[in-house]
Amino acid sequence: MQKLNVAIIGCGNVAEYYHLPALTRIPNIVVKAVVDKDQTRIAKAKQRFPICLKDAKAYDDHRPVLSTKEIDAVLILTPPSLHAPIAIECIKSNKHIFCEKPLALSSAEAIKIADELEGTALTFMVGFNYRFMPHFQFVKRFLDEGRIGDIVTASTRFLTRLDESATFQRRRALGGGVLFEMACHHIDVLKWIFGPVKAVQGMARNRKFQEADDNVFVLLEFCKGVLASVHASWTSARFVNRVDIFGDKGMLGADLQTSHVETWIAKKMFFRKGPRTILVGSVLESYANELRAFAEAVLKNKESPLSIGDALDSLRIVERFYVSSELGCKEAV
Amino acid sequence: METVAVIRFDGDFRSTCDRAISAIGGFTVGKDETLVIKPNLGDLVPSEGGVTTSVELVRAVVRYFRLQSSHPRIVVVESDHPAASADESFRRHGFEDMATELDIELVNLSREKSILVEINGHYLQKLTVPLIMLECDKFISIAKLKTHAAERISCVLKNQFGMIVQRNRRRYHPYMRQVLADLSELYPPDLCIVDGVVGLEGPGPTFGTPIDTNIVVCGRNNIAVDIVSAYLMGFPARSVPALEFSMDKGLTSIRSIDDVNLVGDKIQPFDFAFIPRFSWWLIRMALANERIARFVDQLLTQVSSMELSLSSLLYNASKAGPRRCMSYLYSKLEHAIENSR
Repeated sequence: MQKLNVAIIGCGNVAEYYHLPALTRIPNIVVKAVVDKDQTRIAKAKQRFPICLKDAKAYDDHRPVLSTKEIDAVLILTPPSLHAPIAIECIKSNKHIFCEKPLALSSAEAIKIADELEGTALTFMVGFNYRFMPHFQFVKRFLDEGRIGDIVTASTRFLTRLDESATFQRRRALGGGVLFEMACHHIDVLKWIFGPVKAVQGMARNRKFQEADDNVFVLLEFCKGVLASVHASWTSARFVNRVDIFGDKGMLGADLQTSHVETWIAKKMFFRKGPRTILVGSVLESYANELRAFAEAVLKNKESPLSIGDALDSLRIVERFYVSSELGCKEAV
Repeated sequence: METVAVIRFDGDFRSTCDRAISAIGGFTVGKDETLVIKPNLGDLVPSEGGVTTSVELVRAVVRYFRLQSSHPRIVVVESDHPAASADESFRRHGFEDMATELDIELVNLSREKSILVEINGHYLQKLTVPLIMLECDKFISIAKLKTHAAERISCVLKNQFGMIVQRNRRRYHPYMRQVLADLSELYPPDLCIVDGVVGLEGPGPTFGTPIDTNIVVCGRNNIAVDIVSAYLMGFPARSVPALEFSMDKGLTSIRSIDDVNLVGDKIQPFDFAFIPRFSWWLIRMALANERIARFVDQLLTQVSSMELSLSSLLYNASKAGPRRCMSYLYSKLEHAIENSR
């Protein structure tokens, strides 16, 4: 079995809760180094995930890791403000990159990464894990098969109360804000399903946060003619994470709190009593799926399943949204 | 009132089928609809042996549909069963030749791509559903008129059992009444036909004796058709466990043959031989016994998985005090039952 030696840069919550548990299930990705300024985090992670971190050396700076020839690829799991500088250094050191979303603080920063990447044979993948969720894999397959007819509209909701311990999420300048940091997943998944976005319009408000939007309504118009709304809040008592897609023959509703996709197809015998609940896999599978896809792209020299262009498009949409929110008008993307 | 037609077989499947469907007011097939037909091919014994649905009857039904609409998509489905695979059944019973001749599809449900659907039914919590059933506009069940040693009769309701795609369905037998009610709600047939050209009496559904009954039963409601089929075989509706369950659970308003509008030919009920009463009760008791054994097994598994030994259970109950002791034990038992489902 071909193996991919990686270094993890950033050993915070995202690594601890999602990527490290996923890596324990992927034998062909070997973690050779873990970087974090806080060494206690690394020690804690090593204790919790001895299977995937048994060969990993601890570092407090990423530069010595990048000069190590043994490392093939880097997983950048730091806060968004550090993504671009680290990614550029990784490209210069000829390392394949998996970078958590959002790719950078602005499209200008993302373009710098793209420029650096151009002409290299490196694989660059952005961690929009929703595309790898069993829910959306199922939804995409169903839509591609035309089971709910022509898509008319879509509506997504991401509502929760942001954890008190969250830091950069509360500051737009550090890559926070409910749309930029969280609801960008919904925008990406809609873009993946419906194709390029033509225009965006919406409103962003700071209800509780001082330095970032905590409630947003986004309206998206896709080139195919589909209209979609994205509603996100970080000040809701109730957690809702749901994507509903309506076609002229039926509907699909992916509920990310559960492992369900609600499905209904008009006139069909199986749906006469209303929508049926289809059981798909767990949300956490998406992290393992995306890392597997990354490893396969690097090892088999395939195209990245989620390129820098995809992430750049999402960033541009979010930026146009903020302009729309300030000016109160529709913005072309 | 549900209408059910009983038609005497006149030697020609086509005219018998036309008369049967016309007697219940006809069957409309829309343009570009997908019609799924489920015959009973649960064995390799031919239809003349009284065990499986006649290919000639299915052919007649397909021709009837073709006359209603120019291009409906017609799919005949069956799943693998312990005796053989569905593909083998299709081949042996002549369905492959018919499919080529009439340009219809044959689908082995056990090999078809499928999805897992949450049901929360009377017994089934989730079920593997083949994708073809999501495309189905109208579902037609063509069953056989035969006895069943454990379920009294095997007609339209029992034909639904073949919609479970797993080859080994033995584990569902003790809960057949509930499973059939679940399947009946999940896949409600739009047209139910019972092939009684050759019936089966005695220890069915496989080892009985063929009997020339020369009838076809047809209706839109599966329970009404089964009540009429049971009546024709000489069994009261409530003696069939699946029908009794549907009535008791309020899944149907039809209580007996008197609630059905019988049309077609005047046919006196046949007196189908059945297994001795003692054997019937023995089989029913064996199934009940299996249910108890499984329940205890699940309960013990649950208790051990909860790391809840009997002593700690009793210790906690005693700590709850004499008044709350029983309610504590009851709640633990209820929790264990709920989790074991």
